[in-house]
Formats: sequence, structure tokens, C-alpha cells
Amino acid sequence: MNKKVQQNITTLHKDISFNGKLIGDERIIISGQMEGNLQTSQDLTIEKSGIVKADIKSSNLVLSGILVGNIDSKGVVTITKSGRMIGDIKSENIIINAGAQYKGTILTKASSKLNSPNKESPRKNSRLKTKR
Amino acid sequence: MPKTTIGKSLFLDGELSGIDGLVIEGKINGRIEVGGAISVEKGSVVKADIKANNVKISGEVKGNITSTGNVHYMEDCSVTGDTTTSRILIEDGATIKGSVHIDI
Repeated sequence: MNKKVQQNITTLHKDISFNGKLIGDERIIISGQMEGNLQTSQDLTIEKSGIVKADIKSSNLVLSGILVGNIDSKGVVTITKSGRMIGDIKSENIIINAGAQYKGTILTKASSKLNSPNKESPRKNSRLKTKR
Repeated sequence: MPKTTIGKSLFLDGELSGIDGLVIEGKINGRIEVGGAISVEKGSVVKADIKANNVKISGEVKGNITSTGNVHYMEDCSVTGDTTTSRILIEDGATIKGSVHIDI
């Protein structure tokens, strides 16, 4: 499927700042500043000089810059040693390299399976108590 | 430094600003302000006020264009909105609806 899509790359360079919503079907590289909402079906790279305050939906993601916001990724999320991030990550594969700064909650597919029975059991108990 | 290109598949809604030039192939709603040259390519749809140095339009623009340099409307372009510039070039076949102010 990906082979049919032309391998276009959109780069928001250092001097560019964008405020709003960005939706696309191609590889995006951000070296500038961005605020808002970002969605792409392809890979996303935030370069060292990139500063992003946005909720992100993408395939693979490489973060070398600064990100404040949540990530919903269908691929691998990589935070390199120069990456700094505050926010939640939802992805199946996450790599956080030594030196990276991160604050937030991580949700992998396996951990969501672990959490689900725990969430259901207290509800059942509370129902039993009310019946008594 | 290479110019920033907004690719064909991209849709931007919001404010875009920069110091350098910009090439637009996708769709943009909102406001654009760049210090360099801006080029709206064929097939792109821009619903935004544009402020730039040199402006070259081959696609569709709905909004006011303010330029500190040249404005170049290519053939097959479609512009709805006012143009303020110091120099303008309109090619044969360009569709324009709006007033033009040429301030020297």
C-alpha cells in the first residue's frame, strides 16, 4: 500500500512556525516550531531544532527535539538522546535512548491487556456489595 | 537553505509564518506570512491571506495577497481577493476576481 503513495517529504524548516491543524499522507520532518494538531499516515521526524506542542497521530516517529503533547503511533516511537518530551505515548514499540528526557505515561498493546482485567474486577465487587 | 515545501497530500488549517521562502502544493486554510518568496503550485488550493515578498501563483487562491516585491499570476491560476503590491505580472489565461492596488 505504501509503495503506491509517492514518497513525498514535507519539511517544515527551522524558520517556519505553524499554528493549527496539519493533516497529510506523507513523510513529515519538522525542524521549526509547531503548535496544534498533527496527523499523518506516514513517518514523522522532529529534528533537534524542532519544538512541537501538539497531539500527534503517525506511523513511526523519531523525536530529537522538544515535544509537549500526546503521541498515538502505529509504528515505533524513538526518543533519541537529544529528545525531550512531556506527554503520553500510545504505541506498540517504544525506544527511549539514554540521555533522553521524558515525563508521561506509556501505553503499549501488552500493557493495555494487563490493565483491562484489573479495571473490571473492582466494578464487579462494588455491584456485589450493593446487592447485599 | 532549501525552501519549505507543503506537499501535495497535506492539509493545513491555521497560521503559518516564516522568514524564508515557501512552496505550496497542498491545501491551506488560514493565514500565511513569510519574509521570502512564496510559490503556490498548480493543483493547490489556498484559502488564506498571504503576506510575502515575491508571490508566484499557479494554483487556486481565495484571500487577499499583500506583497512587498513582485506578484506573478501564471496562466491557469485562479485568484479571488484583493492584491496589494508594487509590481505585478498577469499572464494570459489567469482568472482574477478582486481589486489590484499597485503602490510604488
